[in-house]
Amino acid sequence: MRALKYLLATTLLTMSSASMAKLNIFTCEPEWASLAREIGADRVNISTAISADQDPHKVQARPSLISAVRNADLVFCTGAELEVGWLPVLLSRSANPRMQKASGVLYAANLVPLLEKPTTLDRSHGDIHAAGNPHMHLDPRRIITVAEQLSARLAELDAEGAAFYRDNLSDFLNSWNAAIKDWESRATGLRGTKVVVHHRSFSYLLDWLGMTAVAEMEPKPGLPPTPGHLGEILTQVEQHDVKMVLYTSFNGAQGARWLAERSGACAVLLPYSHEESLFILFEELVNTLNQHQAMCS
Amino acid sequence: MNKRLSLLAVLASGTLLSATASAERDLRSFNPAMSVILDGLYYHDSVDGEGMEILEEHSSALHSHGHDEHGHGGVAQGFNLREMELTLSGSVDSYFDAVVTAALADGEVEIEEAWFQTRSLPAGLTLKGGKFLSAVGYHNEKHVHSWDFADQNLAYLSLFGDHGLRDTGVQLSWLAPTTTFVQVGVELLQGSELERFGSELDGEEIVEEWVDEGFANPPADKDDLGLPLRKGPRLVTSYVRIAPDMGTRQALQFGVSAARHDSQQAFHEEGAEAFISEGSAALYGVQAVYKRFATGAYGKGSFNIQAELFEIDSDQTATYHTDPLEIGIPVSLNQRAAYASANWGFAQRWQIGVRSAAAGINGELVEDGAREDIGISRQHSAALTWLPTEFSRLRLQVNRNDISTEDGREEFNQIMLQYNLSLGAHGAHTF
Repeated sequence: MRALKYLLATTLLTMSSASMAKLNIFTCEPEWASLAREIGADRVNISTAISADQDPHKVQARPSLISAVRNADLVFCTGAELEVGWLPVLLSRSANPRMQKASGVLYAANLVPLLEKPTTLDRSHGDIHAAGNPHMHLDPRRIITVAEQLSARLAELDAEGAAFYRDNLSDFLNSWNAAIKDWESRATGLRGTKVVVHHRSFSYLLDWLGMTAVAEMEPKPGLPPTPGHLGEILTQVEQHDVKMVLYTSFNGAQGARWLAERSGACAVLLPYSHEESLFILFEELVNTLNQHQAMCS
Repeated sequence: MNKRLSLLAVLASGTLLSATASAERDLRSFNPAMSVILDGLYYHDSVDGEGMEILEEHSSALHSHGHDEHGHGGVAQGFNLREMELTLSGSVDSYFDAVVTAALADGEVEIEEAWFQTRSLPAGLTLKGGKFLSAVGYHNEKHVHSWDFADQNLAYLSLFGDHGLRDTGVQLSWLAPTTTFVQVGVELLQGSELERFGSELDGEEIVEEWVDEGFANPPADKDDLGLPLRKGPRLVTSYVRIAPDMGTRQALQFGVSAARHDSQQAFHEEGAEAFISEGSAALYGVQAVYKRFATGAYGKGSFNIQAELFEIDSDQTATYHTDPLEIGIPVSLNQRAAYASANWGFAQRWQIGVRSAAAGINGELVEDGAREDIGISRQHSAALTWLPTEFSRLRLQVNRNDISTEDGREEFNQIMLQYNLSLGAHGAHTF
């Protein structure tokens, strides 16, 4: 009985202390969890739908996600239809009136210009997104805009913490801008490099670093590479003297290895996101590309 | 019929207009979203095409002894175009979402579902109203296009019919403010259109059949049958679902459900004896679902296993009998049904599934103390599915059936080649 009372008291205490001050932020992808941690720090509780090695297109609206959205003050996602298969389900089943207000949901892709906006919308062209390529978190310059908007949104939802969020934002931007300069200076050698990509997930990274994708291993976005299509790419790899074939864990290594074995190019596994820190993500991206650039030519 | 069609046409043209005008907007852009599901089957069985009929007429305490059910399993040997489903869905305003699904088959339009759901009730509450699939069980709310198999499992077929438990009414559900998913719901449903559990007799049809079959003590008209006119809503259901947070790679959900129908009705015939019984029926169900999400590319490595068990108990009274002295005797029936299935994404875009189901488990019908066992029916299935994209799937399925019928046991095989394509709005990845 005493144990039960203790349990009840501690549960109530944790519940009340959690709901007293902290904002609950539900993020669809780990990159936004990392960013929210930079700006929100200990004024926020953060949950994430997927791990860094999972494909954000293909998530199931599992019950624990519905509960997470039920308790969220802010849903912070990419948008641009990246989560079209599951986020609407979470929003409609979570019975959370806060999500009905404009302040409840923040879509990063709505805040920045998007690349690769399709001119025609037809499913026979594969899994394309009407608003453009949604994988915009891989351009650190675009992250700046998102960080600013996130800070403003957090201040709107938690007015008492406005100064705290502003300070965190300026701290973050100081280190971030310095880091961008550093990455850019270290990546000058990558400029003009031609690569082959598995999916369009790295378009923003390539755009930022001045690299070009001469081909995609997926015959249409969302379809796995076929031997026939890879065969066509092989000639392009040789033609353009491509040294790096880029893929990420949830693409599978098969296609990239197939090309690498036949062309002498390197199959390069790049991280797509990072649960801990965006700094580590870009550090790894730039390092991996630099290493392979040196190693594979 | 025409009215329905023109309503659909109006809705559809509205969708097209709003769709072209709003290509620029965000996630909720196409409002309403429209989708069409095309589903076709190449079917063959080892009993000259009678397989689906035998399944429909397996021994059950609910519709025991050969009362002619609606002709649903209408699948012939060879090519079949099954229902074409047209769905419109979207937000009505900031208070309601709404979904309308019409099924088109053989030149007929049937409203399969038409419901609204609140968006912004406080305290985790959601109210749903209209005609919808009940939240009883786990599989019940799934639409045909998201099934892992081409056909309804035998357990559901025996308790709810081909389409599952679908009815008109309201549903109130509450989602607890906890990290662990806890959902509690109640439904109040009309209970007038059910196929198995909660099925009601058509009095005129029974009178006709009684006379045609030459049973003794023929009723003059349906009022003689003594079936009470019970007021709606006649069906109440409740459910609890619990799912602990198990991280990003797997999920587990348990659930229990219970339902009560006020007027379960059955027509029993045995040799020269025939009678009609009526009374309340209770349904209890338990479910467990485990899923491991794909770690590899294009669905490779995904795995799910699910199992459900239901029991129905019904205490009835004979309201009409070939022997007038027997009118008023107590009739009780109960039976269980269960299935378990597992699916594995063994390669990119390929999935293999196995399913085992049984109906009439522990089935018995007790008429005035005289007990009669209901035979058990079993079905084992295996399915191989190729999913080119999220919008299309091709499936090869085989069923091995061992079915108890009133004419004895029937053992037969079924083979199905199914295509299921969805056009239009992106389907939801529901759990």
